[in-house]
This record gives sequence, C-alpha cells and structure tokens, in this order.
Amino acid sequence: MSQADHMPTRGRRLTRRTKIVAFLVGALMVATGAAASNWIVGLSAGSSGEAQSGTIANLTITTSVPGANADVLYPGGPGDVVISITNPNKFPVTVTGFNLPTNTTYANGYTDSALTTAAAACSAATPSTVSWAFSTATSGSAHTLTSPLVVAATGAANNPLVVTLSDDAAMGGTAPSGCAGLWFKMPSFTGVVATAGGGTVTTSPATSGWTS
Amino acid sequence: MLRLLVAAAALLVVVLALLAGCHGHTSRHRALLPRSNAPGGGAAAGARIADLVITGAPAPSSAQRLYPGTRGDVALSVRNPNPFPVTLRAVRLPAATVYADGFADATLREPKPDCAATTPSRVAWVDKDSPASAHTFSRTVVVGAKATVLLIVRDAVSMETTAPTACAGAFFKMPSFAGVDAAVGGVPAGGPVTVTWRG
Repeated sequence: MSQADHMPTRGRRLTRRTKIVAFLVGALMVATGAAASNWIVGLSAGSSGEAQSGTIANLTITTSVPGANADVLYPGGPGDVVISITNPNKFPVTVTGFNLPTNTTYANGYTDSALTTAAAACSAATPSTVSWAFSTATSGSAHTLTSPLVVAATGAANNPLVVTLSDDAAMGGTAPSGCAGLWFKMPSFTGVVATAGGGTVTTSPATSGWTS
Repeated sequence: MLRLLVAAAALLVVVLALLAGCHGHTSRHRALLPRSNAPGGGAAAGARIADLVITGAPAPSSAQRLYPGTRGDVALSVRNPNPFPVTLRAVRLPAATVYADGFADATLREPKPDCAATTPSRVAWVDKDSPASAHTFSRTVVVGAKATVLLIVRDAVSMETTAPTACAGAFFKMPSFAGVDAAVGGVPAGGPVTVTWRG
C-alpha cells in the first residue's frame, strides 16, 4: 500500500479531531461568555424611557325597560327612568351626575316597551309634558347623583350597568289623555359628569338619581 | 481516542487557568484601563468602557397604556456603544415626586402644556419612593457589541388618580434614571426583551 493510500484516512482523523477540539473550545467560550464580567458599565446622563397613556372614549347611555315595580307616571307626578350605561374604556368610570336639557324638552310616547310604535297623540310636539325632573329653563343644568355609579371596564362584569333613576321623570298636570299607559323615550342628556377610575364597581342593576 | 480525550482535558485546564488569571487582574471599577508598558512583554490595550445610552422608544401596541389609578409599561431603547456585549441587570430611579412630561407625539417633540412634569402629570416611576435602591430586572438583558435592544418593562410606570384630563392619549418622557447596574460581557439574545423589575 502506498503512502498516498494512507492520506485519506489520516485526513479523516485530523478532521474528526479538529471538530472535537473546536467543539470543546466553542462550548467553553459560550459557557464562560454567558456570565458578565466584573467590569462595570455606567449610564449616559439623561437616560430615560417612554410610556403612553390611553385615550378616553365616551360613555353610551341607552334606554332600558322599567321593571314591574318601577314608579309609573301620572299627571303632576314623578316616575322612574331606567337607563343602561356602557363603558367602552379599558378602565372603570365613575359617574357622579348628569346634565339635562331644558324643562320644555319633552319625551315622545310609544305604545310598546321597545319604543318602536309612536303614539301620535302623545309626542314631544303635542306636547306630552313628560320631561326630566328638576330640569330648568337652561339647557345643560348639572344634577348630582345621590350615590356615584362606578361602571366597570369594557369586557368586565356589570358593564353595561342598568340603573333606575328614582322619580327623575316628571309628567305635567296638563298631560293629554293620549299619554296614559305608554312608554316614554326621555329627551337626550346634554352631558355627563364622569371621571376615569373609581373604587368598587357598581353591581347591575342599581338605583340612584338626583333630588334637586 | 484516549489520547484525544487527554489532550482535550489538558486544553480545558489550560484555558480555565488563563481565564482565572484574567479575572484576577480585572478592575472592579469602571475606568480607562492603561496601556501596558511592561518591558519585553509586548503592548496590549485595555478597552475604554463607554456608558450605556437609554432613550425612550415608542412602545408596541401590546404594551399596557396608562390610565388614572393604574400602572403601565415603559419602552426603553438601550444602546451599547462598546465593541463588546454588556449585561444590564438593574436600574436606579431618580428622586421621589419627579413626574414625567407629557407629549402629543411618540417622538416626544410636541409638549402638552397641561400635562407637564410641573402641572404635574402625576405620571411617575413605580417605586419612585425608594430611588436609591437598585430595581433589578426579572432577567438580565444583554446588549450586543455596538447594538441596540428594545426593552419593555412591565408595570414600571404609574398614573395617579388625580392625573389631569389633558394627560389622556399622551406620550410620556419618563424622568431620567439615576444609574444602572451593568457589566461587560454576556451573550446577546436579541430583542425586543420584556421584563419586570423587583423593588
């Protein structure tokens, strides 16, 4: 057998040995490099970070059907109003009051609780004389709730929050007879007094309202 | 095969001995290391160690935003200007009651006058009342040589319930750090990296 015949075998041995040694050295370097050294590194002056706050979305308030125990309206008397407050924010919101339209802004009457069939003889233009209690001649008057309402964050329990506003609707003494036995869609609020955050979330359904 | 194992073991012992010797001569203090003037020993140069630079960075959409009474995430762009990796373990916070400035844009160029540190914005570092102590990250962060890593620190910032409405939808430049706990070395893992810190 010639010298040349041995070369490939010797070449394979060297290659294998080289690979093993290289692996050991590499593994050693990685192992020792994983730990930081004792050389301390400082921080450039003014080094800081960035944070971001969320945006605020408006609450949505819709009508809700009064229960069997709700106070109903009679000429010259107050009645309950039931609303549903939806909070689209990722944080709870505390509602402490509402802003009302003028006391001559009246509700439309409907023959069904779903408020789909209008009662022609009892509309806002008739007028029905049904308005928000304690509203004034000035639009936007503020009325503070007797107990604040904490509406849970979006996706959480008790959102939307159904609230009965006790005796916060009023029917005038001159209300037409066509307004008997109806459901009313109250005039839209002009605003709400609410802030982000709050304590314990209010359990739905709740009862609150304003008395002045 | 036995010869090969013996040789590898010997190599391991030699390398470990060399590394142990190196550690024994490194300074524990951040300093400009002098060039060696040992006669006949050749010339070697110690590395200059430059400070890390941490700046604000727009947080990813998954980052927790701030709301009154809640905590939020902070995004840090950590730049290592050195030609070697650096391991960042902790940060030290500024003095208490230092609030962040609010901006209308993510590049922090348009201040919101009604949401400034002096308003105050009521946005501050969590645990700002213990500024002297190092706030250790839940894991070490290794920044590669001359590299930058985006670091997200969960729940590191708080907004008090009395924050003004003008601070809604704002970007905040957090008060500057007082220092870091960082050292040369480590194996970079890439980024972005998400951590929390322990007070």
